[in-house]
Amino acid sequence: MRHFPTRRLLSWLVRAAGVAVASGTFLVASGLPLDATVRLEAAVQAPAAAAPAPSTAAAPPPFQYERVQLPNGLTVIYHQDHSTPIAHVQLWYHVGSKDERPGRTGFAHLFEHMMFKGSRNVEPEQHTSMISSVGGRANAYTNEDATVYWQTVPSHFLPMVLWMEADRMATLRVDERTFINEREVVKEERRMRIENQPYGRLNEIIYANAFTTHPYRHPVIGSMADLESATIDDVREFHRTYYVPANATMVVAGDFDMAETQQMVTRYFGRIPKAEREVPRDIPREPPQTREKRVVVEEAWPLPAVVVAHHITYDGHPDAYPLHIVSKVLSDGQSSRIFRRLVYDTGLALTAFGGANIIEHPNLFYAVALVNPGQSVAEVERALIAELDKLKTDGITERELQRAKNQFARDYIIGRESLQQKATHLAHAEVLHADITTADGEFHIFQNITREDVQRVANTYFKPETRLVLHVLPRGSGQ
Amino acid sequence: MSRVDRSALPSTEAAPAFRFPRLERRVLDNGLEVRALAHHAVPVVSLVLLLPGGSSADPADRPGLAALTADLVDEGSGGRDALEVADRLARLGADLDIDVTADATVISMTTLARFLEPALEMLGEIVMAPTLADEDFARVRGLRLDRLRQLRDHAPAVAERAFARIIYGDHPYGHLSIGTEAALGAMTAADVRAFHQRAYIPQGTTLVMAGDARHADLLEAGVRAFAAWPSGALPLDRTAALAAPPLVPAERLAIVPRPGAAQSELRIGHLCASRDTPDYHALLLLNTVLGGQFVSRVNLNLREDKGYTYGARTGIDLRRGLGPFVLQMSVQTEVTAAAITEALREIDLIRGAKPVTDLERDLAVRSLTLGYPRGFETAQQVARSVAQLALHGLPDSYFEAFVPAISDVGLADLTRVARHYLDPSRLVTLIVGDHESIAGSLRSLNLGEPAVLGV
Repeated sequence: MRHFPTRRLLSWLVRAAGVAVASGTFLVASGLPLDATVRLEAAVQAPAAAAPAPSTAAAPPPFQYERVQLPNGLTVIYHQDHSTPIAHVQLWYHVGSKDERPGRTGFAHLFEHMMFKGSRNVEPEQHTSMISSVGGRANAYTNEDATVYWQTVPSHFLPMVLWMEADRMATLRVDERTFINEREVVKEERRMRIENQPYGRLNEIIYANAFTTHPYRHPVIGSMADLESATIDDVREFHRTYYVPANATMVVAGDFDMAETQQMVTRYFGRIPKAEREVPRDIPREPPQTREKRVVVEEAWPLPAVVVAHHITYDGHPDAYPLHIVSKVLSDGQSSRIFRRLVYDTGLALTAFGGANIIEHPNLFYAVALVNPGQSVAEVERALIAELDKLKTDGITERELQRAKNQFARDYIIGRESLQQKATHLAHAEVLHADITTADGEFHIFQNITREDVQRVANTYFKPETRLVLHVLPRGSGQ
Repeated sequence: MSRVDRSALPSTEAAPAFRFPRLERRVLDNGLEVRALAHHAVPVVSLVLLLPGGSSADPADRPGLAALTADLVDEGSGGRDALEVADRLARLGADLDIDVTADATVISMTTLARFLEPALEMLGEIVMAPTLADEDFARVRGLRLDRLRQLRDHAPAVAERAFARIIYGDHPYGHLSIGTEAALGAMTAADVRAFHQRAYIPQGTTLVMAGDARHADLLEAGVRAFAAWPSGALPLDRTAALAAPPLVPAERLAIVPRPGAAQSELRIGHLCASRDTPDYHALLLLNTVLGGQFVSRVNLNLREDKGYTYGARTGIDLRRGLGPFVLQMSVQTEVTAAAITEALREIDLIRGAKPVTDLERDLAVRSLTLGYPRGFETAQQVARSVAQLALHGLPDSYFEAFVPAISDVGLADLTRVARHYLDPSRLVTLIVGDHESIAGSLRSLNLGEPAVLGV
């Protein structure tokens, strides 16, 4: 990520535990303090009482949008919404950490930072300062599959945003001093997010052990050594290769005039030349795992952690939808089966959480438990696996399914409230599903999932041979 | 490719004036005030109940009681047990949030508009008739104690806690809402029940309802749900929280050792102002220039020029009582002293040696005013904003008056408030980091030997 979101960053551990850490708050434009939130989740699972579940299954109105492709390959999606006088521009480049070459882990994200360091007509840092000077917000983020730049501005400044985005797609300034300084900033980002956090390296450890070949085995932030060896030539080459119109999708959302805006987009983006070559997509595939993997590592952590992970499918695969429900029932929050069994019922774990990382290429479902002092790692492993097995043999109840669907419907509607959220759904469908209609279609897919679907995918993916069991022990514990 | 295409910044028209949605209110016989706004973007309604008090209402020997109480109110209510409450909320698809800040407990619920009635009924039960059973108390307290133990390894949490303690001492603002292990350990379910009885009362409390419905319907539904709430006998005594804390800090330089830490987590600040200061808008603008946005002085210096940190920022936490000005950042261990020197220098410079320039002021004014409507996009944002008006006793016209008030702040005002509200001689510097590695370099700060604090 380019810089802090307004809300203070908490480590995933603290978020998983649902803790408000700070009473100190910050002044923001409205003068309203932004507080860390204690989110109270449903404490325990539903009983088998009989009251009929209210259905939230009424589909929200479908997205209204217009999708246009320019002759140079740029895809543009327009979504009009005149309710507030603001406009949001979200530009996705279909390049993430999985496109990185060996020895250059972390580069896609480092490059994201360089996109704020100036282009032919925009001075270094002028992008941020211009957006700020019109009362807008801008930021960017990089994940395994994509790099996303966004800005929200009062709607009459939309032309400025389009102009600046076009300028940095067409041209990029790179100078040695800026590059070296920005590399230091990214190294601090890694120290802050990973190295200075309790259990900050957990994700790295899971992925490095679960994957042998696919670049998903590397963290998005990259390794310190690779960050250090990145060069200015890498920056230029990356821009030439991946920051080309055919690899980009832009969503323009909000309060704007359609004809005028389309004209403007053509004016600013239309003459950016087509790429000279195809965007490389030769990403090494992960060979199927055919035997259970068991790994024990040591870290300077206060308590042991047990991880059970399984290879699962990709975003958009029909099995992905029931897998979301599997993930919700097993490991989403304090009402989940895994939390209930390991934390509430048995006291085996201090906390337990997990989830399915369903992204562009096949990734993982994993569950993590931090072992309570005095409890055995082997016992925690057995309890985690037992919960997965129970799903295979018994499935879920009708009531659990209905609850999951209602929560999904709520998230679906509330998750489409702001322009930024709407733009994200549209771009995600277009870029990662290569099918913009999924931005709407998924609602019905979810509402039609059956208990049999859920049990079937549990049996498909939770096989012993696709499992990774990882014990992370406190250093020198000799446990 | 044509260079002409993009060489000139497109021109723009003038910004439309900001209009806040109309607010309607009703005060019930029991003292509860209900405020309603229509917000029709999506079929959603957002309810926010603001109970004054918050963590500063914790009894002196029970820090954490307000937050523990808030954590327990949805663990069973109105004759339903914890399982049933959770299940009913989930089936309504209602999202329940409870924030305990220094000044208030804020309970909010967002749900689909057609579930307004059952959602209000749930909210009413949770607030008016929580069970607060012994066994739920034991479980929730156990979880909170575990969280507190985990937070010992979380540098920002350690820093927040130590910093509050240094600048406030024993004042009611001197602890975080989660409290302390000792106090949580000593608490009983009876403490929680007594606190609920005194703090969860209609007098002084505000219910804000914003969403896809008519004003009249919202108000009527709100009144129906809370009319039976009996007035409380013993409202909280807020005198201690609003009393002046010590202005001169106990320490100027302090460190919480964290051996082997990859970074030093820093807090630099002092007590500054309360929300009712007449200089509110000037302070907000000053903070924006100094450290309140990405292109602020401290971030441009410490991140963009020096590369010491991923981000440096300042903020003024304006509360009912006196709140702090704080600069915060996490920096690589070896540049700790250098980063502190630069931060202290920036705070000093803006007071006169390098006052805010015309250009900086204009940028900050535009940043605060032109983007103002963005803060009111969703029903929840609107409802939360109105709750803040209630907390601070601000008029309904506050949001529409904001832009003109900010635009009126001049350069002389900024220098005056910088001198009045920022005082380098009172700044406290707190470090959570590897003491051994940085002890030597800290001498260059000339702030004396650091006080060494426990986690």
